[in-house]
Amino acid sequence: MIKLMKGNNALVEGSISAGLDAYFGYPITPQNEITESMSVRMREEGRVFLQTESELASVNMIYGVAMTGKKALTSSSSPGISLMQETISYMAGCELPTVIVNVQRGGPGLGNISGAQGDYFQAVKGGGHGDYKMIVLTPSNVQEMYEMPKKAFYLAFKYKNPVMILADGVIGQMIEKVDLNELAKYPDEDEVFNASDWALTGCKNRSSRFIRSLIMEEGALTEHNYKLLEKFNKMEVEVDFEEVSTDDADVVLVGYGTSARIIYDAYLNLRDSGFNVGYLRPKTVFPFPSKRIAALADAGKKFMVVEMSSGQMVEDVRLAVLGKSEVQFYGIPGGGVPEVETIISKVKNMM
Amino acid sequence: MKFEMPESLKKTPQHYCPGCGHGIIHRILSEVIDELNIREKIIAVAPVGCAVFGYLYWDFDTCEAPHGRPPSVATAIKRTNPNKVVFTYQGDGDLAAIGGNEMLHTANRGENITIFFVNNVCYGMTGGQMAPTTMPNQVTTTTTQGRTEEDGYPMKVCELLSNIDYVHYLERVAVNSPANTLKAKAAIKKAMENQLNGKGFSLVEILAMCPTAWYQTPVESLQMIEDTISKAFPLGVFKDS
Amino acid sequence: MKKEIIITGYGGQGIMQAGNILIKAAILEDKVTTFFPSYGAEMRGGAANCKVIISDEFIGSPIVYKPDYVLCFSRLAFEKFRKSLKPDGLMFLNSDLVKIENNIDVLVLEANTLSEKFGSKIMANMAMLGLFIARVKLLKQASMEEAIKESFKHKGEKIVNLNIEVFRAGLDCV
Repeated sequence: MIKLMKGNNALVEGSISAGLDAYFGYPITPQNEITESMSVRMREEGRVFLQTESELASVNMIYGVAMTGKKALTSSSSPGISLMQETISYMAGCELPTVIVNVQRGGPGLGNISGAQGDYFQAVKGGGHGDYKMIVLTPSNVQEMYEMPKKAFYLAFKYKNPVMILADGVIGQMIEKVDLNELAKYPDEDEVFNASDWALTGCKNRSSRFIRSLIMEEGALTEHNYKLLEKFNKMEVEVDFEEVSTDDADVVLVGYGTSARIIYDAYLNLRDSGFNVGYLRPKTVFPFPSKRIAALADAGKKFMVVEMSSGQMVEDVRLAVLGKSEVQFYGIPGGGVPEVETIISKVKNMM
Repeated sequence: MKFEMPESLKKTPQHYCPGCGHGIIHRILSEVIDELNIREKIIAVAPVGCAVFGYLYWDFDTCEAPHGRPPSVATAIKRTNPNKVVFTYQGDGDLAAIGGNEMLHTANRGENITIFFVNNVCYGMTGGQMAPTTMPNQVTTTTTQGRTEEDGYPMKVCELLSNIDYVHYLERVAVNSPANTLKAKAAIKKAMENQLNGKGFSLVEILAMCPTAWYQTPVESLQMIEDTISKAFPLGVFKDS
Repeated sequence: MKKEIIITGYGGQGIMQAGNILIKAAILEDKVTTFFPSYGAEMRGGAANCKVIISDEFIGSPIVYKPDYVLCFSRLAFEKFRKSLKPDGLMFLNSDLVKIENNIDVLVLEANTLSEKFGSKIMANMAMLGLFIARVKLLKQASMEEAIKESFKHKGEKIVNLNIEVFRAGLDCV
């Protein structure tokens, strides 16, 4: 079914198609359509919806649902996501599958309600306390807002870890065409979503279970961390990105989310003018397409990274490139949107 | 009469200090769960505080919540698993200080869960700091000259929640004597039955001894509840509707 | 073909609705389209605009900096957006709301007055859409009317018909 839909509304439909059991949310712009639409759609579907007293309550509610092996999601925007960080760390420590959606707005502080990409570090480099990682998916269009919740739940259950959908106010608010097709089934999804060997469901016909992140026995927390680290390293295979015309490119444009749409305009324009540029869009930013970027750097390609921030993802590009090639950055923080013409002139200067 | 360990309690030594109230409360709570035959339906939420290790002693499914958030965790578990029996076990720091907002709103929604609120008028696990429930003039590691007016007045959770329409049952009990302990067990049982009968939000506040943080002997701490604490926090039913 | 449109004024003037009707009509003609809203903290009365792109090919950024067309419903927006128009761009102005000197090259319509003839000035946005479509022929009249119908059907047939009448009256004003 083809429809015109806001990114935020498409995310709701995609979550419901993915089998969401419970949604919890607190109002904050620019993601309110998610909470509002969930209030109608989850009730229609006979599933759990609750408007909470705070983002703290929301995130702890999805934590509670995950304890029982069911699928729960919360959504918010930047300040609300900051409030959730403690419990995201608990989820990683307890190895619980949950999905958190951040429709990023301008910051720091209360900031503004425009789309922004200033929460990359928070999402990718920790945010909460302790050594942990979270898989981070970055939708760039309304279709992906529909499709990514299913993928997020699949990965969350596969790795027993929180997964974040890192959107932004532009993707959340914009309307475009979306195909609300039935979501493809993963070959092993029945197995992956089956939580019967670990979830808290009452100790009928089995010994009792507990789920915790407090591990006080000497050396045990170190062991637990090594086990988690091994898991985070395994996530590497989930890296996902879109790449166009990098083979003959002198400069590769790199961006995610809304920035990826903007660099695509610049890419088309530059190619039309005869410049050899390529396009690379990470669809996961953890794991990050470091190996691919390293290979492109080895092949002598330069990089122009574009973000709606002061420069966050560019650090991961530079880590992948390791000084072997030139990496330039252009970004506008605080809810500003990079301009195609500026990207074009900056790339021309790199040629 | 044969005196046995409740099935709901693991045969494990507990870490609690001599004279602590938690051991008694764990015991009567486990007895109630056995008597109601609900052990296999329980999903319990342990707090941050002395009872954080509840899951090492209780022989039913248990999770741990971030500090102050057990009511939110329990709300979500119950709403998605309405056939399970869900309770939180929280101290005064967890419920009345850092978790005050979650407590209020969970009560205001009349969630069909049960909260066991163990009030020992201090932060025990972190070494005896002042709690919202600490007595006037009580010496703690953060009120070394005694709690003054500037530090606030003991927070009365049952009285506070009694003003909320959707709250079904509130009772304050104590475990400082055999007679009080029997009343406490009856209140715990009633609160669990309320959930089984779909009556909504029930909270039992249990005044409990913490001789270590009160700088007292176990016997003195029993008397402290009798003479001082239960005067500031009167025992009884605050709501049953 | 790629055309970028900004509809701008204050919240409550039907700015977002006008944009929504354009993208619905565009989809009916199998075009690629995006809509991006922008507004202040308030739901009513604050500056608001939406950016609509209609194209035959993939649309990258949904943000519009240099529009081909501006449909303008306030003085503030007029001052702001007249400078950002493309060199061959066109400004459409509700001249009941913004009085300008004659020598400025804009297409004006007393859209409130026109709408009021049908009972209420609330349909001024439809009048402006009519003027716009008549002048630039970006979308077909039939798809516009289908989109209007789709947008108002939850309010009943009478409201649908009134809006279509105002749209048609706007069409005739070019």
